[in-house]
Amino acid sequence: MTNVTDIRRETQSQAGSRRELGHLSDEAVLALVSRGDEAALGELYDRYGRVAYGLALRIVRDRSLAEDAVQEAFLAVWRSAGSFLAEQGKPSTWVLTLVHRRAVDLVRREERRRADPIDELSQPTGEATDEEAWLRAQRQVVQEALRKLPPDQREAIELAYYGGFTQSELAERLGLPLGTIKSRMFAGLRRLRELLAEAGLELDAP
Amino acid sequence: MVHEEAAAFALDALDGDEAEAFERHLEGCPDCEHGLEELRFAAAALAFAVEPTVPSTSLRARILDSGAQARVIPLPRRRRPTLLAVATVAAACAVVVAAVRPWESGDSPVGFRRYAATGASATLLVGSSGEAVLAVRRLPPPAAGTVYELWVIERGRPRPAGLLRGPLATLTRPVPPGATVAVSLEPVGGSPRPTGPLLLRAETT
Repeated sequence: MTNVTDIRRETQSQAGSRRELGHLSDEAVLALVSRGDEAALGELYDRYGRVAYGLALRIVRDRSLAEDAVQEAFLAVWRSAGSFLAEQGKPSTWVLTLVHRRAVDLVRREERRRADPIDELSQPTGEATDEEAWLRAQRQVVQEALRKLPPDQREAIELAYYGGFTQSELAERLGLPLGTIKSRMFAGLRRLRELLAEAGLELDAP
Repeated sequence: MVHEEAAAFALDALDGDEAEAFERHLEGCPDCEHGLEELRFAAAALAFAVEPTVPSTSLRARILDSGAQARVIPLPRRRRPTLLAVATVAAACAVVVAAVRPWESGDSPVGFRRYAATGASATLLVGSSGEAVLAVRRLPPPAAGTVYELWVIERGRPRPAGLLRGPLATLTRPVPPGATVAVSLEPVGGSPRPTGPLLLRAETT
Protein backbone atom coordinates (compact mmCIF):
# COMPACT_ATOMS: atom_id res chain seq x y z
CA MET A 1 0.00 0.00 0.00
CA THR A 2 1.36 3.38 -0.91
CA ASN A 3 1.14 5.99 1.78
CA VAL A 4 1.58 9.74 1.67
CA THR A 5 5.25 9.58 2.62
CA ASP A 6 6.02 7.28 -0.29
CA ILE A 7 4.23 9.57 -2.70
CA ARG A 8 6.09 12.60 -1.43
CA ARG A 9 9.39 10.82 -1.62
CA GLU A 10 8.62 9.66 -5.13
CA THR A 11 7.96 13.19 -6.26
CA GLN A 12 11.07 14.50 -4.51
CA SER A 13 13.35 11.90 -6.00
CA GLN A 14 14.27 11.42 -9.57
CA ALA A 15 11.99 9.12 -11.52
CA GLY A 16 12.29 5.55 -10.39
CA SER A 17 14.93 6.05 -7.70
CA ARG A 18 13.41 5.97 -4.23
CA ARG A 19 15.49 7.11 -1.30
CA GLU A 20 17.86 4.17 -1.29
CA LEU A 21 20.46 6.17 0.60
CA GLY A 22 17.99 7.01 3.35
CA HIS A 23 19.66 4.66 5.84
CA LEU A 24 23.08 6.28 5.56
CA SER A 25 24.48 8.84 8.01
CA ASP A 26 25.01 12.39 6.79
CA GLU A 27 28.76 11.75 6.82
CA ALA A 28 28.38 8.67 4.64
CA VAL A 29 26.16 10.56 2.20
CA LEU A 30 28.68 13.37 2.05
CA ALA A 31 31.49 10.88 1.41
CA LEU A 32 29.50 9.63 -1.60
CA VAL A 33 28.97 13.22 -2.73
CA SER A 34 32.72 13.80 -2.58
CA ARG A 35 33.15 10.85 -4.94
CA GLY A 36 30.82 12.42 -7.47
CA ASP A 37 27.65 10.47 -6.62
CA GLU A 38 24.73 12.54 -7.86
CA ALA A 39 22.13 10.42 -6.07
CA ALA A 40 23.92 11.25 -2.82
CA LEU A 41 23.73 14.96 -3.63
CA GLY A 42 20.00 14.45 -4.20
CA GLU A 43 19.70 12.65 -0.87
CA LEU A 44 21.46 15.48 0.95
CA TYR A 45 19.11 17.92 -0.73
CA ASP A 46 16.10 15.85 0.30
CA ARG A 47 17.32 15.95 3.90
CA TYR A 48 18.13 19.66 4.19
CA GLY A 49 16.59 21.35 1.14
CA ARG A 50 13.44 22.50 2.93
CA VAL A 51 15.30 23.85 5.96
CA ALA A 52 17.83 25.48 3.63
CA TYR A 53 15.15 27.05 1.48
CA GLY A 54 13.10 28.17 4.48
CA LEU A 55 16.21 29.85 5.88
CA ALA A 56 17.20 31.48 2.60
CA LEU A 57 13.65 32.71 2.04
CA ARG A 58 13.56 34.13 5.57
CA ILE A 59 16.70 36.15 4.82
CA VAL A 60 16.26 37.25 1.20
CA ARG A 61 12.41 37.33 1.10
CA ASP A 62 12.31 36.52 -2.57
CA ARG A 63 11.60 33.02 -3.89
CA SER A 64 13.90 33.26 -6.85
CA LEU A 65 16.83 34.72 -4.89
CA ALA A 66 16.28 32.11 -2.17
CA GLU A 67 16.49 29.35 -4.77
CA ASP A 68 19.69 30.90 -6.15
CA ALA A 69 21.20 30.84 -2.65
CA VAL A 70 20.26 27.18 -2.09
CA GLN A 71 21.45 26.13 -5.55
CA GLU A 72 24.80 27.89 -5.16
CA ALA A 73 25.29 26.40 -1.70
CA PHE A 74 24.57 22.85 -2.84
CA LEU A 75 26.88 23.34 -5.82
CA ALA A 76 29.59 24.43 -3.37
CA VAL A 77 28.86 21.24 -1.39
CA TRP A 78 29.24 19.21 -4.57
CA ARG A 79 32.55 20.86 -5.42
CA SER A 80 34.19 20.78 -2.04
CA ALA A 81 32.68 17.86 -0.10
CA GLY A 82 36.08 16.13 -0.08
CA SER A 83 37.91 18.99 1.59
CA PHE A 84 35.09 19.39 4.11
CA LEU A 85 35.23 15.73 5.13
CA ALA A 86 38.86 16.23 6.12
CA GLU A 87 37.75 18.85 8.64
CA GLN A 88 35.34 16.53 10.44
CA GLY A 89 32.59 19.00 11.21
CA LYS A 90 28.90 18.15 11.00
CA PRO A 91 27.63 18.00 7.40
CA SER A 92 24.31 19.65 8.27
CA THR A 93 26.14 22.53 9.97
CA TRP A 94 28.34 22.97 6.93
CA VAL A 95 25.49 22.87 4.42
CA LEU A 96 23.43 25.39 6.37
CA THR A 97 26.49 27.60 6.93
CA LEU A 98 26.98 27.73 3.15
CA VAL A 99 23.30 28.48 2.53
CA HIS A 100 23.35 31.21 5.15
CA ARG A 101 26.46 32.85 3.73
CA ARG A 102 25.05 32.83 0.18
CA ALA A 103 21.74 34.25 1.35
CA VAL A 104 23.43 36.99 3.37
CA ASP A 105 25.71 37.86 0.44
CA LEU A 106 22.67 38.18 -1.81
CA VAL A 107 20.59 40.20 0.60
CA ARG A 108 23.43 42.63 1.34
CA ARG A 109 23.80 43.31 -2.37
CA GLU A 110 20.08 43.68 -2.94
CA GLU A 111 19.52 45.89 0.10
CA ARG A 112 16.45 43.91 1.11
CA ARG A 113 17.24 43.45 4.74
CA ARG A 114 14.41 43.46 7.19
CA ALA A 115 14.22 42.58 10.81
CA ASP A 116 10.95 40.83 11.52
CA PRO A 117 10.64 38.46 14.46
CA ILE A 118 10.70 34.78 13.57
CA ASP A 119 7.31 33.20 13.07
CA GLU A 120 5.98 31.35 16.04
CA LEU A 121 5.35 27.66 15.62
CA SER A 122 1.95 27.08 14.06
CA GLN A 123 -0.30 24.13 14.76
CA PRO A 124 0.37 21.16 12.48
CA THR A 125 -2.16 20.65 9.75
CA GLY A 126 -3.10 17.08 8.94
CA GLU A 127 -0.87 14.09 9.49
CA ALA A 128 2.85 14.70 9.72
CA THR A 129 5.44 12.37 8.22
CA ASP A 130 8.42 11.25 10.33
CA GLU A 131 10.61 13.89 8.78
CA GLU A 132 8.06 16.62 9.31
CA ALA A 133 7.64 15.58 12.91
CA TRP A 134 11.42 15.60 13.36
CA LEU A 135 11.78 19.05 11.80
CA ARG A 136 8.94 20.30 13.98
CA ALA A 137 10.59 18.98 17.11
CA GLN A 138 13.91 20.56 16.13
CA ARG A 139 12.12 23.84 15.55
CA GLN A 140 10.51 23.72 18.94
CA VAL A 141 13.81 22.99 20.71
CA VAL A 142 15.64 25.83 18.99
CA GLN A 143 12.81 28.32 19.50
CA GLU A 144 12.62 27.43 23.18
CA ALA A 145 16.38 27.83 23.56
CA LEU A 146 16.16 31.23 21.86
CA ARG A 147 13.43 32.29 24.26
CA LYS A 148 15.68 31.46 27.21
CA LEU A 149 18.39 33.86 26.08
CA PRO A 150 18.63 37.31 27.66
CA PRO A 151 16.58 39.57 25.34
CA ASP A 152 19.51 41.80 24.31
CA GLN A 153 21.59 38.76 23.32
CA ARG A 154 18.68 37.23 21.45
CA GLU A 155 18.06 40.47 19.61
CA ALA A 156 21.68 40.78 18.44
CA ILE A 157 21.75 37.16 17.27
CA GLU A 158 18.43 37.29 15.44
CA LEU A 159 19.21 40.57 13.69
CA ALA A 160 22.57 39.23 12.56
CA TYR A 161 21.48 35.73 11.54
CA TYR A 162 18.00 36.29 10.11
CA GLY A 163 18.38 39.95 9.17
CA GLY A 164 21.80 39.70 7.55
CA PHE A 165 23.15 42.77 9.35
CA THR A 166 26.86 43.11 10.02
CA GLN A 167 28.07 43.80 13.54
CA SER A 168 28.89 47.41 12.59
CA GLU A 169 25.43 47.93 11.13
CA LEU A 170 23.91 46.49 14.30
CA ALA A 171 25.95 48.82 16.49
CA GLU A 172 24.70 51.76 14.46
CA ARG A 173 21.12 50.54 14.34
CA LEU A 174 20.94 49.87 18.06
CA GLY A 175 23.05 52.90 19.01
CA LEU A 176 25.54 50.78 20.95
CA PRO A 177 29.34 50.46 20.90
CA LEU A 178 30.63 47.75 18.56
CA GLY A 179 32.24 46.00 21.52
CA THR A 180 28.83 45.60 23.16
CA ILE A 181 27.40 43.98 20.04
CA LYS A 182 30.35 41.61 19.78
CA SER A 183 29.98 40.61 23.44
CA ARG A 184 26.22 40.05 23.13
CA MET A 185 26.59 37.87 20.07
CA PHE A 186 29.40 35.89 21.65
CA ALA A 187 27.73 35.37 25.03
CA GLY A 188 24.38 34.65 23.37
CA LEU A 189 25.67 32.15 20.85
CA ARG A 190 27.70 30.34 23.49
CA ARG A 191 24.69 30.19 25.80
CA LEU A 192 22.56 28.95 22.90
CA ARG A 193 25.08 26.17 22.31
CA GLU A 194 24.77 25.12 25.97
CA LEU A 195 20.97 25.24 25.90
CA LEU A 196 20.88 23.12 22.75
CA ALA A 197 23.25 20.60 24.30
CA GLU A 198 21.04 20.43 27.41
CA ALA A 199 18.03 19.80 25.18
CA GLY A 200 20.00 17.03 23.45
CA LEU A 201 19.73 18.64 20.04
CA GLU A 202 21.33 16.74 17.19
CA LEU A 203 21.20 18.32 13.78
CA ASP A 204 21.39 15.11 11.79
CA ALA A 205 18.21 14.18 9.99
CA PRO A 206 16.73 10.88 11.21
CA MET B 1 40.56 31.29 24.82
CA VAL B 2 38.14 31.82 21.96
CA HIS B 3 38.22 35.27 20.37
CA GLU B 4 34.89 37.11 20.62
CA GLU B 5 34.97 37.79 16.89
CA ALA B 6 34.34 34.05 16.33
CA ALA B 7 30.64 34.46 17.16
CA ALA B 8 30.19 37.29 14.65
CA PHE B 9 32.05 35.16 12.10
CA ALA B 10 29.79 32.16 12.79
CA LEU B 11 26.74 34.41 12.33
CA ASP B 12 28.17 35.87 9.08
CA ALA B 13 28.02 39.27 10.78
CA LEU B 14 31.49 40.40 9.70
CA ASP B 15 31.98 42.50 6.60
CA GLY B 16 34.38 41.29 3.90
CA ASP B 17 37.57 42.77 5.37
CA GLU B 18 36.75 41.70 8.93
CA ALA B 19 35.96 38.16 7.80
CA GLU B 20 39.23 37.97 5.90
CA ALA B 21 41.18 39.21 8.91
CA PHE B 22 39.46 36.65 11.14
CA GLU B 23 40.19 33.83 8.70
CA ARG B 24 43.86 34.77 8.82
CA HIS B 25 43.72 34.82 12.62
CA LEU B 26 42.02 31.41 12.58
CA GLU B 27 44.94 29.78 10.79
CA GLY B 28 47.19 30.40 13.77
CA CYS B 29 44.68 29.96 16.60
CA PRO B 30 43.60 26.37 17.43
CA ASP B 31 41.40 27.63 20.29
CA CYS B 32 39.37 29.76 17.94
CA GLU B 33 39.23 26.97 15.41
CA HIS B 34 37.76 24.58 17.94
CA GLY B 35 35.49 27.20 19.47
CA LEU B 36 34.23 28.19 16.05
CA GLU B 37 32.97 24.67 15.37
CA GLU B 38 30.76 24.87 18.47
CA LEU B 39 29.54 28.37 17.64
CA ARG B 40 28.80 27.32 14.07
CA PHE B 41 26.72 24.43 15.35
CA ALA B 42 24.63 26.89 17.39
CA ALA B 43 24.36 29.29 14.43
CA ALA B 44 23.29 26.53 12.03
CA ALA B 45 20.71 25.36 14.57
CA LEU B 46 19.04 28.75 14.14
CA ALA B 47 18.13 27.63 10.62
CA PHE B 48 15.82 25.04 12.18
CA ALA B 49 13.82 27.69 14.04
CA VAL B 50 12.47 28.95 10.71
CA GLU B 51 9.46 27.34 9.06
CA PRO B 52 10.87 24.75 6.60
CA THR B 53 9.55 25.54 3.14
CA VAL B 54 9.27 23.35 0.09
CA PRO B 55 11.02 25.02 -2.85
CA SER B 56 9.82 24.69 -6.43
CA THR B 57 10.16 21.13 -7.71
CA SER B 58 12.55 22.30 -10.43
CA LEU B 59 15.20 23.37 -7.90
CA ARG B 60 16.22 19.78 -7.15
CA ALA B 61 16.69 19.03 -10.85
CA ARG B 62 18.63 22.27 -11.36
CA ILE B 63 20.99 21.40 -8.52
CA LEU B 64 21.62 17.90 -9.84
CA ASP B 65 22.08 19.23 -13.39
CA SER B 66 24.56 21.86 -12.35
CA GLY B 67 26.31 19.19 -10.28
CA ALA B 68 26.58 16.94 -13.33
CA GLN B 69 28.00 19.77 -15.37
CA ALA B 70 30.56 20.66 -12.74
CA ARG B 71 31.77 17.07 -12.53
CA VAL B 72 35.50 16.63 -12.25
CA ILE B 73 36.63 14.04 -14.76
CA PRO B 74 39.98 13.11 -16.28
CA LEU B 75 40.56 14.71 -19.66
CA PRO B 76 40.88 12.16 -22.46
CA ARG B 77 44.10 13.73 -23.75
CA ARG B 78 44.74 11.46 -26.66
CA ARG B 79 41.51 12.46 -28.34
CA ARG B 80 41.89 16.17 -27.82
CA PRO B 81 45.07 17.05 -29.73
CA THR B 82 43.73 20.30 -31.17
CA LEU B 83 42.49 21.53 -27.84
CA LEU B 84 45.80 20.77 -26.18
CA ALA B 85 47.76 22.39 -28.97
CA VAL B 86 45.71 25.54 -28.82
CA ALA B 87 45.67 25.70 -25.09
CA THR B 88 49.39 25.01 -24.60
CA VAL B 89 48.55 23.46 -21.28
CA ALA B 90 51.23 22.25 -18.95
CA ALA B 91 51.73 18.59 -19.81
CA ALA B 92 52.23 17.74 -16.16
CA CYS B 93 48.61 18.50 -15.38
CA ALA B 94 47.27 14.99 -14.81
CA VAL B 95 43.67 15.77 -14.15
CA VAL B 96 41.80 18.83 -15.22
CA VAL B 97 38.33 20.06 -14.66
CA ALA B 98 36.81 19.03 -17.93
CA ALA B 99 33.80 18.88 -20.11
CA VAL B 100 30.71 20.96 -19.76
CA ARG B 101 29.03 17.91 -21.14
CA PRO B 102 30.76 14.87 -19.72
CA TRP B 103 28.84 12.54 -21.97
CA GLU B 104 30.50 14.23 -24.93
CA SER B 105 33.94 14.27 -23.42
CA GLY B 106 35.37 12.03 -26.11
CA ASP B 107 34.46 14.41 -28.92
CA SER B 108 37.16 16.38 -30.64
CA PRO B 109 36.88 20.12 -30.19
CA VAL B 110 36.20 20.85 -33.87
CA GLY B 111 34.02 23.93 -34.16
CA PHE B 112 35.38 25.72 -31.07
CA ARG B 113 35.83 29.46 -31.51
CA ARG B 114 38.88 30.97 -29.95
CA TYR B 115 39.08 34.29 -28.09
CA ALA B 116 42.08 35.95 -26.48
CA ALA B 117 41.69 37.37 -23.01
CA THR B 118 42.82 40.71 -21.70
CA GLY B 119 44.35 41.15 -18.27
CA ALA B 120 46.23 37.85 -18.30
CA SER B 121 47.60 35.44 -20.86
CA ALA B 122 44.62 33.19 -21.51
CA THR B 123 42.61 31.64 -24.29
CA LEU B 124 38.90 30.97 -24.27
CA LEU B 125 37.44 28.25 -26.47
CA VAL B 126 33.69 28.23 -27.04
CA GLY B 127 31.88 25.35 -28.73
CA SER B 128 28.80 25.54 -30.90
CA SER B 129 26.37 25.07 -28.02
CA GLY B 130 28.20 27.46 -25.70
CA GLU B 131 30.33 24.87 -23.88
CA ALA B 132 33.57 26.61 -23.03
CA VAL B 133 37.09 25.95 -21.85
CA LEU B 134 39.45 28.56 -20.48
CA ALA B 135 43.18 27.94 -20.66
CA VAL B 136 45.36 30.26 -18.59
CA ARG B 137 49.11 30.64 -18.62
CA ARG B 138 51.25 31.72 -15.69
CA LEU B 139 48.52 32.59 -13.24
CA PRO B 140 50.08 32.52 -9.74
CA PRO B 141 48.43 30.14 -7.23
CA PRO B 142 45.68 31.96 -5.30
CA ALA B 143 46.53 33.26 -1.83
CA ALA B 144 45.56 31.03 1.12
CA GLY B 145 41.81 31.11 1.73
CA THR B 146 41.02 32.24 -1.80
CA VAL B 147 40.13 30.64 -5.13
CA TYR B 148 39.88 31.78 -8.70
CA GLU B 149 36.24 31.86 -9.70
CA LEU B 150 34.96 31.93 -13.28
CA TRP B 151 32.12 34.17 -14.42
CA VAL B 152 29.90 34.37 -17.45
CA ILE B 153 28.74 37.97 -17.78
CA GLU B 154 25.70 38.55 -19.91
CA ARG B 155 24.08 41.96 -20.22
CA GLY B 156 26.16 43.15 -17.30
CA ARG B 157 25.03 40.33 -15.01
CA PRO B 158 27.78 38.00 -13.81
CA ARG B 159 26.88 34.41 -13.06
CA PRO B 160 29.23 31.93 -11.38
CA ALA B 161 30.72 29.40 -13.82
CA GLY B 162 32.93 27.25 -11.61
CA LEU B 163 36.43 27.51 -10.20
CA LEU B 164 39.77 27.71 -11.94
CA ARG B 165 42.01 25.25 -10.13
CA GLY B 166 44.77 24.83 -12.66
CA PRO B 167 45.81 25.96 -16.12
CA LEU B 168 42.64 24.65 -17.72
CA ALA B 169 39.02 24.87 -16.59
CA THR B 170 35.74 24.09 -18.21
CA LEU B 171 32.96 26.52 -17.45
CA THR B 172 29.99 25.05 -15.63
CA ARG B 173 27.53 27.15 -17.59
CA PRO B 174 27.33 27.80 -21.32
CA VAL B 175 28.73 30.97 -22.82
CA PRO B 176 26.17 32.60 -25.13
CA PRO B 177 27.36 34.74 -28.07
CA GLY B 178 28.38 38.22 -26.96
CA ALA B 179 28.91 37.18 -23.34
CA THR B 180 32.11 37.96 -21.45
CA VAL B 181 34.04 35.35 -19.49
CA ALA B 182 35.99 36.66 -16.52
CA VAL B 183 37.98 35.43 -13.54
CA SER B 184 38.16 36.97 -10.08
CA LEU B 185 39.76 36.05 -6.77
CA GLU B 186 37.13 34.97 -4.21
CA PRO B 187 37.03 33.46 -0.72
CA VAL B 188 37.20 29.66 -0.59
CA GLY B 189 33.90 28.14 -1.70
CA GLY B 190 33.40 30.92 -4.24
CA SER B 191 30.91 33.77 -4.22
CA PRO B 192 27.52 34.18 -5.88
CA ARG B 193 28.69 37.47 -7.45
CA PRO B 194 32.25 38.71 -8.00
CA THR B 195 33.62 40.47 -4.93
CA GLY B 196 37.22 40.82 -6.12
CA PRO B 197 38.47 42.67 -9.20
CA LEU B 198 38.18 40.89 -12.56
CA LEU B 199 41.70 39.63 -13.24
CA LEU B 200 41.07 38.68 -16.82
CA ARG B 201 38.28 39.11 -19.33
CA ALA B 202 37.54 37.41 -22.62
CA GLU B 203 34.79 38.93 -24.74
CA THR B 204 33.00 36.69 -27.22
CA THR B 205 31.12 37.65 -30.36
